[in-house]
Amino acid sequence: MNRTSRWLLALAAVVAVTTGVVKTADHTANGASTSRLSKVTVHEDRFWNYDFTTNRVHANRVDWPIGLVFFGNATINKVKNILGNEYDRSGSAMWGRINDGPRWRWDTDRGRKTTACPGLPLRPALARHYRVYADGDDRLYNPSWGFYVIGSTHYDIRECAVSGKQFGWSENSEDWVVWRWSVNGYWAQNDWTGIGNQEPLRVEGNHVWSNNGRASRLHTP
Amino acid sequence: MRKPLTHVRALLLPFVALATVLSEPPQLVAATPAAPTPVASLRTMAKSPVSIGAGDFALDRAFHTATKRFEFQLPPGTVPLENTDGWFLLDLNYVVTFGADSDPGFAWISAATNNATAAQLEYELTRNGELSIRESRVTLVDGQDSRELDGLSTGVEYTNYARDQGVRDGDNTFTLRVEHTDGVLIEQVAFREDTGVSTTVVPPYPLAIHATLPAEAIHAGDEFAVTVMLENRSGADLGDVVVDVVPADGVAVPLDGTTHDIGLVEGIEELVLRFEALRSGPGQITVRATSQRNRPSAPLDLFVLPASGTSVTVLTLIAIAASAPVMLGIAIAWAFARRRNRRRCD
Repeated sequence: MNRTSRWLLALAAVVAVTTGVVKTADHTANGASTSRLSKVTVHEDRFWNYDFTTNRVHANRVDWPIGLVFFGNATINKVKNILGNEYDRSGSAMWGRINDGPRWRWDTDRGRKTTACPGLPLRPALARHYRVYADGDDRLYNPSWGFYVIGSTHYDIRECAVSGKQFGWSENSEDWVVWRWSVNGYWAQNDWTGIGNQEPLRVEGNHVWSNNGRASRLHTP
Repeated sequence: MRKPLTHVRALLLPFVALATVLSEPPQLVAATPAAPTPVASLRTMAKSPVSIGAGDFALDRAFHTATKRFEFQLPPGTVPLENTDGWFLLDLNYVVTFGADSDPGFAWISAATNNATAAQLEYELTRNGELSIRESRVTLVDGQDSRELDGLSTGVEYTNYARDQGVRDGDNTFTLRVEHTDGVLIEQVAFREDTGVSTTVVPPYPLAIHATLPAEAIHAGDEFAVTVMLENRSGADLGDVVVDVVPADGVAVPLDGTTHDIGLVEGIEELVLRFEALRSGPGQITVRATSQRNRPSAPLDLFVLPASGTSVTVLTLIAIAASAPVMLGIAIAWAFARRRNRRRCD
């Protein structure tokens, strides 16, 4: 193989790797689609039942269904500390849209995941990832739920591999968050209440929808 | 933005004409808010001053935690009917002092009745050479607030509405809870003796909205009026009130614009919004109000009848025309079925 061929081969490898990275970014930047985007109302609190890839409410720019309600004496920092023995890595940021009575606000969160960049050599192939949202001061309050935050969750599979990337299976990922919460000694109720974001198994590119539309609630004492 | 045709200020209104959309009859509001009434405080619940010190913490799952629990009793009939006679408040008043050698992390100070937390403050400690402490809080009384502490110690006065069914007749518990992450140093939390439970006649959601449709049927092409009543139940002036309308898509449109700047609401304000019914069918109009405190809304389901004077013949022709595709489909299916049956017999 002459020098020119070797250079071309090296260039092709760089392009292939770059494409893989860009495809990962594409997943997070463009968002997915749903026909079940709606608002949830509790007392005078409201929130959209999906999080978003940008700070814009659009049914074609959603990320994952909201499936977690941490309630009682919760704050975002408390939740992340409680789950931190398994979910200890930071991920990419998405957006939640929340109204605590006076006004709508955006909240952005990187969340926590079980493995950074799954799919790299010597790394697990998959990670579970959750994000939590609240209003300005990292929690909301209403007389029914107490101090609470809402969250979404999903799998990242081979996220940093060259090929075979997939993201989703929120229902299964939600079950694992509930399990970890319970194992850590805190009370939780799986699939507590419907919030209208049921997603039967559906593949949208590398975005795999799977959600039963019932959020779990996890008590923070 | 145009003002509605009618803008009536009333302290006393005849309510009998209002339709069933009203969720509850409006009430007269006091000119000034009544001060909360203490129900149970550390002054009566505790035998001595209450404080939590560094030696009181034990590791409880994820956090280092210290709690103090007290009991109080309420005679039968004390707990008011929800959302009518009064509401319970939790008052959390203390002085907290952090250790100068504290690691970065978080701390939380909270209070609960019968294990239903309704008072909470969070402290975030960061260190960039010196220790910085940021306090944040959320209440239905004041909304959200945060501040940077000036030093290692601060005094706090905090009030929030209790949880639904958070207080009951008979035996109750009142729990103070202090938690922190690893390495955070809390030297002392000294609770004031007025920490406890009180009641108020001021509701947590002070602005209420009621909206009603006209009693008579609405036909396509009709102009009709929606009567909106705003009620300030706080006892204090409520400003920056704006009413906006989300019209029923394609069924009815507002004739006076969608946004109405009301401004100050002292007691009860009534306004009348005009609409035009565009076509027959179901729809929903939502009337919403925003204020400095809360944002109530009132959805109205309406059904617009066909235009008055539409003759039976025209309606019949419309019905036939609308069903023609269905009838054609049935005819085609029947023809195919006959042809298939004829082949079987051949």
